[in-house]
Amino acid sequence: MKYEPVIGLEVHAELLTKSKMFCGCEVVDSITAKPNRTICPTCTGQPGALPVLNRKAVELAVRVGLALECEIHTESIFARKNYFYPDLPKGYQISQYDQPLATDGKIRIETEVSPRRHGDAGPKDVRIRRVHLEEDTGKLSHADGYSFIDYNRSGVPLLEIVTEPDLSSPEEVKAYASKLRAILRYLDVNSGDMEKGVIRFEANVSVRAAGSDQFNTRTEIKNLNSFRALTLGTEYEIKRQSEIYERGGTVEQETLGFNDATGKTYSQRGKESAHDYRYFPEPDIPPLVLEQSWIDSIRASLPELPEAKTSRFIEQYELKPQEARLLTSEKALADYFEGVVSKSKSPAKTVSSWIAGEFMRYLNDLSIDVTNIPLPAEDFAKLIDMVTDKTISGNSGKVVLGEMFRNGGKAEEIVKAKNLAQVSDAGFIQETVAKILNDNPKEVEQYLAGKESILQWLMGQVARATKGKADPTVARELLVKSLEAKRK
Amino acid sequence: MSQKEEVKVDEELVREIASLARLDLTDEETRTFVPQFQDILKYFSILNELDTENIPPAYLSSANKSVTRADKVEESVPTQEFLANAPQAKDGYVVIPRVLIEQ
Amino acid sequence: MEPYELSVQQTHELLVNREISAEELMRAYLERIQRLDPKVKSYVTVTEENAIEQARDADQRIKMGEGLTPLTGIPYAAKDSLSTRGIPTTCSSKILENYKPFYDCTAIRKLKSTGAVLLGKNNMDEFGMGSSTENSGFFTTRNPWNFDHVPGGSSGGSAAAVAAGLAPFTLGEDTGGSVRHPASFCGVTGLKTTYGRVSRYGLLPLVSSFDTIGPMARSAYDVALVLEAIAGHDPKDSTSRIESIQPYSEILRKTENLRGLRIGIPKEYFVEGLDAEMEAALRAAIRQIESLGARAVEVSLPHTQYAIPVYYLILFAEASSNLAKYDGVRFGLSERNVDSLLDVYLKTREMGFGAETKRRIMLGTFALSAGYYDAYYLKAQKVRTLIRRDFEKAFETCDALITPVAPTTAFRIGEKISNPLDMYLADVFVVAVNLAGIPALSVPCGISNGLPIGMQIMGPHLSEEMLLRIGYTYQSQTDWHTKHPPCWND
Ligand SMILES: [Mg+2]
Ligand SMILES: [Zn+2]
Repeated sequence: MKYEPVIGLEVHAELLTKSKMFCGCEVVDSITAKPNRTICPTCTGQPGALPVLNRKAVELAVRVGLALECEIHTESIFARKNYFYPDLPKGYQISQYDQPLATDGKIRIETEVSPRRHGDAGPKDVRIRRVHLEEDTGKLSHADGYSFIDYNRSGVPLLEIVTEPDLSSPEEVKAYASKLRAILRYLDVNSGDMEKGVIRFEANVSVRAAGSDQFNTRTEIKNLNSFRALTLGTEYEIKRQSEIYERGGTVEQETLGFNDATGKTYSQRGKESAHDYRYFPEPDIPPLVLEQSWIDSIRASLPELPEAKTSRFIEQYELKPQEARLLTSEKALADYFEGVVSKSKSPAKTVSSWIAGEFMRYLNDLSIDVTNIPLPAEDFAKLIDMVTDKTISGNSGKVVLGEMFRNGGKAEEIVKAKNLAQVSDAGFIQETVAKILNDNPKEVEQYLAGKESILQWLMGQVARATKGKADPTVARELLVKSLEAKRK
Repeated sequence: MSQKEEVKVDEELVREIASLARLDLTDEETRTFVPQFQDILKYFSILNELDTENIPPAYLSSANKSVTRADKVEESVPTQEFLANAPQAKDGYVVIPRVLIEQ
Repeated sequence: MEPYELSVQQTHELLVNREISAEELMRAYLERIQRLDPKVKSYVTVTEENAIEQARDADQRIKMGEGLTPLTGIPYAAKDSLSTRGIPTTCSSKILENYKPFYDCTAIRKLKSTGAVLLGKNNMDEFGMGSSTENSGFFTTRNPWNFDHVPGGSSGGSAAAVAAGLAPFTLGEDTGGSVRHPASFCGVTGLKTTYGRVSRYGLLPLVSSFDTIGPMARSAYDVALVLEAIAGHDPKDSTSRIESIQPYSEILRKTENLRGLRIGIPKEYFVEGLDAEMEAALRAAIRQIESLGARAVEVSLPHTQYAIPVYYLILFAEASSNLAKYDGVRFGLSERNVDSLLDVYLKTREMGFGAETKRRIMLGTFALSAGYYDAYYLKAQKVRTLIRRDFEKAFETCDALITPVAPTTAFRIGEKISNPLDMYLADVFVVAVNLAGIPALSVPCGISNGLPIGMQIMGPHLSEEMLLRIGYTYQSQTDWHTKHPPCWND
């Protein structure tokens, strides 16, 4: 039998505030800071300490809620989620439960690979069930027979974003996760730095007979903290569950961990077996009542989001959808593209293919973050223009770009230093053409016999002989002319 | 559970709750709690005399709404003051017996 | 007169007139505590060194005449549920036996800034769970009027200390009668403040929705002086009231009568089971108050009989959550001679908590757990709405309500301890006030068989000023509050 997965995602994203959610302790890098450096009575759960809500955290949460097209609730309340774990100093986590800040939103995703269930790749709306505020826990590390607790991260504001079980493949899961990450970065609410654990994923996975609309027992996979883990973890779990049903077995409802090294999920039964969180309204925090005018002003300050930007790029710059999506995948990249376009005399389409091609390759090869592009937009624009106006050839342009990435410098200087300026002088090129036709009689014969593709090979020879400086249009013209002359 | 039904308190229920509350009750404590809980819950069932269908819960006591603070960093407590109360500490960390996670 | 016999107001006069120094005063109290408290057992910690040092600071302040307040140099004690920096704060629980907080409760900090001097911390029912102080993890406090009887609870140590002249005033904490109940049993004046009037920051919580800090002293006037110092908005407590406080003591000095006040007498509080002598004393007190110009009217609080289950269900639930942080990880008792972290939790909590605390944690865990939440916790919160409405309605027709504090005078030690439900039922007259969040004053109004009787005066939110006026004018006409227990001259 064929099985199809039903997947929902829970995402925890730290919010970019200066101080913690309920106290004035500084939010610090939990990897590099000394342990238990930013702590106080409130975030270490000292008896009698009380929480006071950080207004900025609420604002950032509303930003996200609005960006995800959620309904923002003008009255929400906090609740206590009660459970014992040593990274949770109070014995309960302050979260939101039956009256969250925002509900009923959506995120549009695009997948390249056909999702198994819906047949076609393409756009799909993933429904967001809820967006709520809560506090992060401390951090545990383990050595020998001991565990070590650091409460620096305890009380850092977290946003929990929960989808409906709308995802139907690991590809969709990844597409959703990266789209959400991009939106959070667009909104300046989260750094997106997944290696530091500022975004963490949990997936609820079940499988069912293809075409069925029933929901089977689901498992919850925790600590999926990279795109790779998300894909591998859900893939593994889909396969595991399908095989259980194939054997006629039953899937147990449980919490699973994901092992990065093996790519497998494992049972966490030893950890927290009975999930009875005994939620109740947090008596230490009055209801959060938001003014509609405040929400409206946050809405007015939202940046253009990936979806809208993509459409605009397609329309305004006449880009292909795929290119537009790539350029808008990160706000910094989209801004850079527009910066180059505004400085350049070349068509936007030309700029776009430069960025989508060589430029992205260099970013990836040199592991450069898009927020940290070393090449001023103006300089890149100049380089593209030099290719467009045939001062240099396209190939030389690539060489120059590489030089600019590695060692900096302006395009004109590099062209001069490397003597890359393109030659359109017909006399000079004709000499080379004649020599090449002379040196390759066999190829000339093939061409004359009707194998026109040989022309491209001959063009390559010209480019090589002139070190890429020959204007290809002129070179082609002269080649054809000389070949046709031989025919007679 | 319906509001009219009476809960049957037995040792198993008491043990279940104790495990949720992280209390390692002695057998004697477990036995004592059974009739005490039964009595208390039975007395509390007088609440069922009242129809509260359309009554909103009181929940929060505060007269305030939307109490927030500005996102301003305030001074933290020196690590050593915090750790002075810890049963075990090392290199700035609170130390506990190893948390077990099955793999 | 000995220093311990003086009211806060009288002591203040002696201090500013330099007839006694704060240090001498402090030493007199410390000496008396050393002599008498082994019998009363009202203190769990006496902060002798700290106290003398701070008394000297106060003397300096008096000498310079700078920053003087009515409390400068006045000794006081606080219930051991108020966090005191560097000074043990145990809630009378073994689980916190060695816990020294690294921060001060706001109320303590405010008193410090007035120049009042902390003598020590008072015994209580563990975490405030009880009405007799028998549930202390350390020892039972005695009623100064009769050592065989309980002082009431849970702020039993704080009430007994004032009654026995071991502190001119104390800070108690009232979750469901814990200031008023022991105040009435020990014959002192105690104020349960409006929820949020005094910051809860640094108060070790029992029920975050009900907990209030309130003063206990020998008169309504002294209570007013203390209230002025500790009340007010605190940005560290989101639930603290933003309204500014009133000049309580100044208002009292200007009060002569109670003309125009309508006093409601809720019929549900004068029912079978109420001790006859107690009822007689209360009726007499009401007549006295009428003679000061007030008019008494009968009112009804129809949901009174449901207050006990509502109160206890919410208490159990919140307490079970508030006590989860006592897990042996960061502070307090920690049982480490074990095999696993789970055992640290289990053994620490099993050894550290007393029977009543465990019982309540268990019942609260139950009331919140899946399947029972709606029938217990939610139901209780709905009935709480009805009880609040009762009070709102009553205060449409009267300004204040007068009731007994407890059905009987102080009971014998051991009398109720084996039957928890019986003990809960003894709170019948006090808990509704906490459900509604309103203030209430307990004032001595009689003595029966050598044990004090208390009168409870309730008012709407933030009506502390009116309650104190009623108490103050009543005390200006009567002398119940000046009577001393037999151990007074020991
Ligand atoms: Mg969460
Ligand atoms: Zn903090």
